Amino acid sequence: MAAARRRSPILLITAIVGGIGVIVLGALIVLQGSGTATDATGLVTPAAKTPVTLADGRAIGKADAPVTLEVWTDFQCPVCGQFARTVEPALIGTYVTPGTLRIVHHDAAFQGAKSSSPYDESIEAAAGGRCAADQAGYWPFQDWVFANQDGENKGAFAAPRLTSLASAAGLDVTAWKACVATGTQQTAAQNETDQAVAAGVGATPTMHLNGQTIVGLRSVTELGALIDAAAAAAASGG
Amino acid sequence: MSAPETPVSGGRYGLALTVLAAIGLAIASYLLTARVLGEAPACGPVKGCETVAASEYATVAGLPVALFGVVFSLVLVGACLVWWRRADRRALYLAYGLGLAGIIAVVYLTYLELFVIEAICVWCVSYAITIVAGWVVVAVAAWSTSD
Repeated sequence: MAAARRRSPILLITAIVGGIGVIVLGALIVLQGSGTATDATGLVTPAAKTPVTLADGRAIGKADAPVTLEVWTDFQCPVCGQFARTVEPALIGTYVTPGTLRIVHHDAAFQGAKSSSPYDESIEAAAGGRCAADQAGYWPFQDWVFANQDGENKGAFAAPRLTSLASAAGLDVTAWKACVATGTQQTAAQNETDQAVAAGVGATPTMHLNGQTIVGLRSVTELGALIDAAAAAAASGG
Repeated sequence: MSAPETPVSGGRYGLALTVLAAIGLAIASYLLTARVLGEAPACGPVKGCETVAASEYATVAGLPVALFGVVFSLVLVGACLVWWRRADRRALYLAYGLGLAGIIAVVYLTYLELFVIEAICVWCVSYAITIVAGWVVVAVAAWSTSD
């Protein structure tokens, strides 16, 4: 039996699998978080910048577009980030620019409530978006904020970083900081969040497409089909 | 050639291993089904499986992590079955190697849950436990039985 054990490949398997595994594990941990372009301030540059010609406050698209997609969103929500970074740019290119679709953002900024900190990163980021909208800069601001999500309630949207994001987005930072400092937009963001929750928004993103409720991330293909159907219904007077 | 003098069957180790691997397969299958057929990813008011599923780490190269778990567990169940029913020691060694690789994978995934996503999904933890427990049984079986 001792001879059989000496012939056992267990040690060899352990060495090979363990060695490869530890190397791969180390590489994964080291590489994690890399691979995105960052500027001199350590911020991630948005891969796609929303074209602002059709921007209208926190909405984008022609006011008389036949289809409206209302989006309840939270800057701290990673799924909202995926939506903003991957789905929304395609929808804007395919449907907003030709005049079929108008997208309207609303606050459902409740992720910050999970934190015991008095500084609510969701509400503060939402207020920052509203102050950016005051100077017609909501969309560049949201591009930068969603590109720079980094966990929830861990300081990604602490005041100094939000200010850096506002600056990166090309805003008048002095005016933006003055707006944020009043607290008015934080109250407005909280009120809109409360109204959304009262109306049944329990997760973000929640969308209304010409009144049809859609909860959670959907693909460009899936949303595109729904937008096409809504546009066809609108054209036929439906 | 005479019959082997020492027991060759996987015996109770084989049964325990197969059951653990099958539990792992069931958990991975549930997670994959929930991913494919369940509700779209969204950020809800509670932390846990939803947060983990909503994170960018829930997919690798566009494929759900649970799919890798299902494929892994299928191979593991197969290896355990072969050793248990046919006493083919190569299957035991395959299960040992797979288990070790599985432990490294679940250690990484649990690290992501704890320190990166900062949310724990009980199904993922249960899967990790079946992998670790299964590997311990394989190791004990490999050292306490002979060819």
